[in-house]
Amino acid sequence: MRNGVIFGSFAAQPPALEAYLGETNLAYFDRVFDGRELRLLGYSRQLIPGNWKLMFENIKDPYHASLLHVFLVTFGLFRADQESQVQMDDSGRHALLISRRGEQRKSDATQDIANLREDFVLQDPRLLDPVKEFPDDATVVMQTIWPNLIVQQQSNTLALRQIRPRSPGTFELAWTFFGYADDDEAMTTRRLRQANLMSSAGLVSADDSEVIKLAQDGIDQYPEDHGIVVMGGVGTGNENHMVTETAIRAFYAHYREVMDL
Amino acid sequence: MTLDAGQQRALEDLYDRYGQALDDGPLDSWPALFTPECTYLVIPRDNFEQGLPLAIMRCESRAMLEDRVRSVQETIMHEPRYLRHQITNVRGTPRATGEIDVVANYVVIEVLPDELPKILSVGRYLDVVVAAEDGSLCFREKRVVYDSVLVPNTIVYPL
Repeated sequence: MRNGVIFGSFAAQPPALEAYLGETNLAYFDRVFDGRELRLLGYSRQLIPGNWKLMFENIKDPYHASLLHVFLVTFGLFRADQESQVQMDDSGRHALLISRRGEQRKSDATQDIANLREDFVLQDPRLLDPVKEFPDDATVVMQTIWPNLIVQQQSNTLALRQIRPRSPGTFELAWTFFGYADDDEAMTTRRLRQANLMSSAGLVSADDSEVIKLAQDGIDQYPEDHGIVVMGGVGTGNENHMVTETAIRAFYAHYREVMDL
Repeated sequence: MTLDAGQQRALEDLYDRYGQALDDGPLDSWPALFTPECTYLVIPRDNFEQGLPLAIMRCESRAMLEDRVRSVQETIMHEPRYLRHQITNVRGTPRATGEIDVVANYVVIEVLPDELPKILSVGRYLDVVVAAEDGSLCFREKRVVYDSVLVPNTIVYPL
């Protein structure tokens, strides 16, 4: 247990959490779970027809967000040209995608996105009213913790997402939304409003579960075959930008090691 | 107090139009069934019963409903789908002040390409219905409390 979060393991001798996460991932874990009392806001669960690893691929692939999530791009919450980093622990099993939001405008990075809705102005802007609440400048930190946990900070939505595999072709994604006990009412309302972007009916994350289903539909057709699209290199190191699949490669390198493949 | 037959028919007509707007469109006509100041929440039953505030859709005005509609139409990447609302057991209790508290059951069936129909969501509507200036009924509050807490993949359209 660390700062209100309980971890369990079937291992006879589980490693200490601090050593398991490594220095960088532990620091970012403590950034959200800083010891303040947490306030549970609620749960949301969805059954996604895809292999569980596709969910990790999704979160560890940083630049899909700038291509797929028209809502995020339209409102400047995430773009590939933002100041960003991909950081992993020494084993590559955990990863952090760290980024800082931009503005709603066209740029070189968005002009290729044919469906950027530059004219989409919210009729009720209270939906997106993010405020800075952490000491650093990061507005998005997505942390993937091996083997099945995602710690999400997107603007003021804080959530844990647990991946629960049900079968090779299906997994449950269980969301736990929270804030802090010392949040004022305005902050709690802000978190609840921004939750519109997330989970099974999320203005953003619905894109992900829809795409995972389509990806699994494609994979299912060729069970005996392998397919890989290699983009931008073969390494597994940290990067100071988002246009990289390094965290996915590191994840699979670790997966193959654990599974003796 | 109970509704007379004409009031009951008018109430059920509102729910008929509600389902039609979402199933057959135009989707833009859906927010018009709400008052400008309104609440629309889609809440997993677990959260509702535990008093947890998280809703998977939260709209706090008709303008937010319009933003949700535009997102469905223009920004959310999703497979095409057909939806069909079945709204039953519409029971209204008028207050002395004129509003009607309404409880109704719903089932939404979803048809995706190359798949058999399935139940997307089942639950209750817990609503407050009021008369607009022209006398027509509309929603001031709508809470969609869904029993089917494990959502089959994605809910794109409002329930």
